[in-house]
Amino acid sequence: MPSNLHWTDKFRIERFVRSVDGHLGDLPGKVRSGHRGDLRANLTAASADGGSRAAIARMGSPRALALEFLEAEYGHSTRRPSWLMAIAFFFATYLLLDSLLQTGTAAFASGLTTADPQITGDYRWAAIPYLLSHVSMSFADGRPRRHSWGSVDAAHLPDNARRCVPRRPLVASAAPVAPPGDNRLIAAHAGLRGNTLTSRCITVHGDRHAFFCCPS
Amino acid sequence: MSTSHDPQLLKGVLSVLLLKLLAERESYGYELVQRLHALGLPSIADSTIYPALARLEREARVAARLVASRSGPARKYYRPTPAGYDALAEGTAAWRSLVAVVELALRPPTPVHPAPPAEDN
Repeated sequence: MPSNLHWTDKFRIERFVRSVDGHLGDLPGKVRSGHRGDLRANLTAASADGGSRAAIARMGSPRALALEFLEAEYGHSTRRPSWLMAIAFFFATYLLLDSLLQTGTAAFASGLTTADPQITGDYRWAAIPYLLSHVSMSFADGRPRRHSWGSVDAAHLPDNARRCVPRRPLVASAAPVAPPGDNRLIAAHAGLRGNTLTSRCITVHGDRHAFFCCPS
Repeated sequence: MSTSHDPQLLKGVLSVLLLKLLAERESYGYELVQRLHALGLPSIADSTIYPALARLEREARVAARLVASRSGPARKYYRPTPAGYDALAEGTAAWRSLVAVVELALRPPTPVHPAPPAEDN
């Protein structure tokens, strides 16, 4: 839309809008964009009344205004979603898990050398399920030569999750209708879908068939 | 009337005022600022009204739509939703009740000196 404002006024308004927006980093992008547009339109309208300087001066501090917008979105609570906190939490978790794995690996090596001070060969620790698949260590005359960590199971989590989510029920002709309240195991139906499933994963709840396919 | 008003007092009643103004006429942010100033509330800052509108929108008490403007970017016009009308009715009733009580307390003339404390028994 064309604006009657001089480019310096537009620049001043844009600088103020961006300054407020800089403090709104924890808001969802769509909400931020809405605030930017609304603020720009209101400041443009206000500038037509008495100039952009006065309009911006009436707005007060960009930081205070941003805090008001944050309060409007999240209330007075100090517990707001925050990217900074998310990053801090990620690194703290990483350090904690790393420390846990280092301690576990050291304990494994210590256990082996205690059992046999002259231990030689390759040894494998099952590590921590869902976090680290295994730790392999090589010893020569009781001294660890090298160790390697197996792939992190977290990489496989999406695949595991996909296999564990409820599946669509069998077609009506293939799935027997159980009386309401009957919760039975139907092992036979595992084969109908061609899955390698354990029978405990398939249940019939009343007349609704709930199939939870877990890795066997 | 151009006396200044306590911003905290105004903040408490701002939502009701905004809903009332929007119930009378769909408006965008700066237009509401002007309307409030014209009502005799020049001390209400622009920076108070825009977040208040954002809060009302988040609470689904007002709905917004963008309207193209010939003098700048598209403006966001607000109007009350059914929940907004309910909130307006409740807020109006609460305000009137408060005013009645406060008025009752403030009506007697203020004595020059306070009376001595009442005896315990």
